[in-house]
Amino acid sequence: MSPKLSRRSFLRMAGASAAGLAAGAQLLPKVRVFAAPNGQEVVRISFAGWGQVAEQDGVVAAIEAFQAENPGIEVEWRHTPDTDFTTVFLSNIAAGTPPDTSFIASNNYETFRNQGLLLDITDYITNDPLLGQPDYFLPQEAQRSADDNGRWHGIGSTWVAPHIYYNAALFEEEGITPPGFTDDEIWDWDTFLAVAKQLTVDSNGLHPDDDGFDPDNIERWGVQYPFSNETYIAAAVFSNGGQMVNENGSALDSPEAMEAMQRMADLIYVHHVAPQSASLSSLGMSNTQMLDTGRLAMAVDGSWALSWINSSLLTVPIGTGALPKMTQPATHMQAHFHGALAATEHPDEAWQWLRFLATPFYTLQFMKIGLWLPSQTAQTTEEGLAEWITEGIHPDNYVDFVSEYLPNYGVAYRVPPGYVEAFTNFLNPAYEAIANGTPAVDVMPEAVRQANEVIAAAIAASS
Amino acid sequence: MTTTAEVRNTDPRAQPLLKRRLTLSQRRNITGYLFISPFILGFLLWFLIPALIALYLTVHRWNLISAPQFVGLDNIEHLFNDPLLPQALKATFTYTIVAVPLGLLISFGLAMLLNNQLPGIGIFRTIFYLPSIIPAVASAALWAWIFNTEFGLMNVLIRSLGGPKVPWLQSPDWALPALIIMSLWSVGGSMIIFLAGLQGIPDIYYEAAEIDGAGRWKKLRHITLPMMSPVIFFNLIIGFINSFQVFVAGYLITDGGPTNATLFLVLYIYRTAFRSLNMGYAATVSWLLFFILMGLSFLVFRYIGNRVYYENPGE
Amino acid sequence: MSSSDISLSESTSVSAFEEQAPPSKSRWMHWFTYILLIAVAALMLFPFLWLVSSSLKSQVQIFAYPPEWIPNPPIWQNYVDAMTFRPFHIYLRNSIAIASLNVIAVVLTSSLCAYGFARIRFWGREFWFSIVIATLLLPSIVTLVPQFIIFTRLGWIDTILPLTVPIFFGGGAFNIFLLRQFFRTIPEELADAARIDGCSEFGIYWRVMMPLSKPALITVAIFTFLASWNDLIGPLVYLRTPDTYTVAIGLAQFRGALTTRWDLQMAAATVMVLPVVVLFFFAQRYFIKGIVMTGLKG
Repeated sequence: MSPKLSRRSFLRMAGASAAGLAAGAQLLPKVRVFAAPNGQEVVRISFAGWGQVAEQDGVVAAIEAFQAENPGIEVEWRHTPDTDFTTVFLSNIAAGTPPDTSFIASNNYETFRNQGLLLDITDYITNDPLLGQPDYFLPQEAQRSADDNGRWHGIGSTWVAPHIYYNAALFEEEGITPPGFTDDEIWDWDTFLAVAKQLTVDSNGLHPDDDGFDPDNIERWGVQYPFSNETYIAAAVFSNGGQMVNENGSALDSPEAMEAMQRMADLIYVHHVAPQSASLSSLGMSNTQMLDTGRLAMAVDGSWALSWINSSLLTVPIGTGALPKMTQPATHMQAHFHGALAATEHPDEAWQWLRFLATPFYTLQFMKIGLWLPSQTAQTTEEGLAEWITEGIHPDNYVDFVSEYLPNYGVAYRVPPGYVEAFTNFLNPAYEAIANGTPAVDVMPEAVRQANEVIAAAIAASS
Repeated sequence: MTTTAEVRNTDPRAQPLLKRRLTLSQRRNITGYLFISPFILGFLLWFLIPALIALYLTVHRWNLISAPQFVGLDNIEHLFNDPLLPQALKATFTYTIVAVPLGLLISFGLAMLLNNQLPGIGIFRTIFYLPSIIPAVASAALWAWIFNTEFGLMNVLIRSLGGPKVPWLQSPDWALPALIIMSLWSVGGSMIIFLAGLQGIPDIYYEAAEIDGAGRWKKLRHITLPMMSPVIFFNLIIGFINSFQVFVAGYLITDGGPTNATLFLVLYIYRTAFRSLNMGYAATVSWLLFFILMGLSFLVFRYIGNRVYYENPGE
Repeated sequence: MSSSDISLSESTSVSAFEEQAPPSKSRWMHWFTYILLIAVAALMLFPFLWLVSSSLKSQVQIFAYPPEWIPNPPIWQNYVDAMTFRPFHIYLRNSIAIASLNVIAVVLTSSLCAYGFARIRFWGREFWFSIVIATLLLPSIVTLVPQFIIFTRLGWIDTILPLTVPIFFGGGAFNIFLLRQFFRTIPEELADAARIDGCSEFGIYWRVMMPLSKPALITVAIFTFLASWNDLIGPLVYLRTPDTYTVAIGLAQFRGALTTRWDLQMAAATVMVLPVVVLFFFAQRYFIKGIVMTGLKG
């Protein structure tokens, strides 16, 4: 497992491959291997997944387009709208009614792969005229989808990554230059902290370093850097030169990792620039509501949140910028996979569907609304960007994020088997403790030890 | 009682062969078992067989996908070195030990208060009882909002009295007290049982005590409490059983957190089974819960049950 | 015919909600009691007021400090939004279907078993009744995992079968126990009279006992309905798709999806609470009767 990215210049590569891709894209409508001529039997495959209204609509639209293109295949959408998808998925397997294809949460991908649940699609990809092209996907794709032997058991659906959202009107009012995504626009931690202090105001108009500042009655918080989603922690850890996982499982007991988490917690307890936020709902307001009502100046949230934190939906103008760097710029890239089950009776049809999900039609509809980021190289070229960057949703500098920042500083890693259990039982409670003011060094070593026992057992059980 | 015998005498051929050969008690046995057969079948299907499966699971490791794997006493051994189990036990016991007696005390006090024949008392009885029938899911949503640190009713009240902002559901120290307070909202059930018990105490006892010059406290101590002891005992048992099975509050409001402070046993079992997919260990912890409840019931019956005063012993 | 005349027993015939004439007591005590009563009533009612008030607030009003108790203007749209965010009408339909089936199951089979235990002296009766009591004390979670496995194997996951079929097997120890207690208070002479008329044991149960037990059956039915309506863990484990969701699981999922939309959450919670409160006001005396039956004859 090597979570670090190659740092090669991404745009150049993208440009070089664009021509080849354009040729490949023309092949797209012709690839109708299973088009059923009159009267031939229709193959029905099922597709299991989760998601709210937007995802639901997107999948339904994709199925219609796919079926129009492939009259011989019918896709049945098995939708679980909310939590506990994994339980639903696995109990269907236990009951002998597994889906043919499915969303696979990135936290489960290695677990399921290890258990032999997923179909090996490497040969399909290699032989595909479009997806088989060497630069069809962004370089990080192989790092999450392929195993140590280079075998693929799924394709990442997209990429998402955390960054900063800020109240642009407030920055202008205060005369502060906001953060951006290019190298000279990325803040270091001290700048970030100073701005956060400047933007934090208590009910008497005082800032955190002023005499008589009242941390119990803060009118506006400088920033929210929550522990509620592991991806924010991962971004901080990578930025501080740490790792999320190593060959033992979790690597969050390293000094770099613990220091990164401590810095996040210090924003709350030492600097008083961030609200206590072990969980979203305990704070009452979401960061969106807080930004909208002027109670928050900056929020760290995932790129997906752009579909609701954007200037056309909020009453304040919203800007975006990179996370502050601790020792180096970094953010964490991830997203769920699309995979076929090893048990499917229709592997060829299942592949056709997975393939369709990795083509522009499906991904563009989510990218346009701010939910997804491109995982296909062609969508990051100038022409490609024009296809999905949407005025009012994507701020002007979002192009920098996609074409410059992410290729260089986005980090992806593979989550080891057994991680869901290790996370629920040990790692997440430790994050909650840190978010509640316990020093990271007091809880992480023990939590990591316990988590890694679970991971070791999961690896042992399936080998 | 000889109706059937008479029938047989008048026309033996009208009776089915089988019925004729059966004695009255045999027929009563058949009828009896026919009547209770749904229960017996249900007991076998939904209780005894599951119990056997649970027993099988305790010596297996099974994630629903691959075949169950025999692991001997691994699951039972894991009970002793599972770092989460002590936390789950602690949360459950603390909740029970605080919420049940406190709930009994309050519901008894309220029942005493309602045991008055004042005009309009019926309205108060209705109001006090109503919260206890509110669906747990709805009251979980409501109380999550009431306990919200920034905007919740609880902190609004505390702050209007000059108190601090309490981080109810955010802090591991306050989450359990918050859920206990929430449980006190719905003491109406045991309150009504107490009230019915209080109203069942004949006035004549109190009148006699008054003649002897007994005060309010003495009447409570020497008449009300002894007369009420079976009811208190009943509410105690029900309270224990219910609070050991607390699930919805921990699942919906705190999801077991923060830092596992509200990881109740049932929630832990649910998670182990349906999130970690460790069916074997989940079954093992279920058995543990079973033995704890049996043991507790035994202790309660043994040490409290024999102090209960029954007016008419036996039945 | 007037079955409600039959009282459970001397001490349990109390109708706790009915008022009685005030006896002479000191005036001072009266006032003191009233003040206490009103204080407690306020504590009990505050959460309800907060619920309804929050459900009618705008997204801005809900975060106002100090809070406004009477939202102006009330946002009735919250109820529309909450009910249409997810297909709540389907959840309502499912909840009602499951609860109704449970009520039918309990009324039919619990009473059948209860009659057997109450009125027929058969060999092994005491043994089986002690089993009823034992399962009464037993936490249902103990059998949750194995039952899930059984239902998985039967292919019943994501259907309402696991939430309804088992109820038809006796309807639960608690209900058997409750109805048995009631049946025992009905005079034996009525049954004897029917027996002399050539009535079978089943006929006595069905034509004599059941009509006489209407109040107890209604009580059991109400509590069964409530238990099913309020149940979360069952639907959580067995139901998988929105087509089969109940209101309880719908509201639980709602919380997950709209974490900080308290206005909509409170509107949805109010909708879930409303039928229960209405049921309560229409059937108050049965609620009390049921509780008293369980409490004093234990």
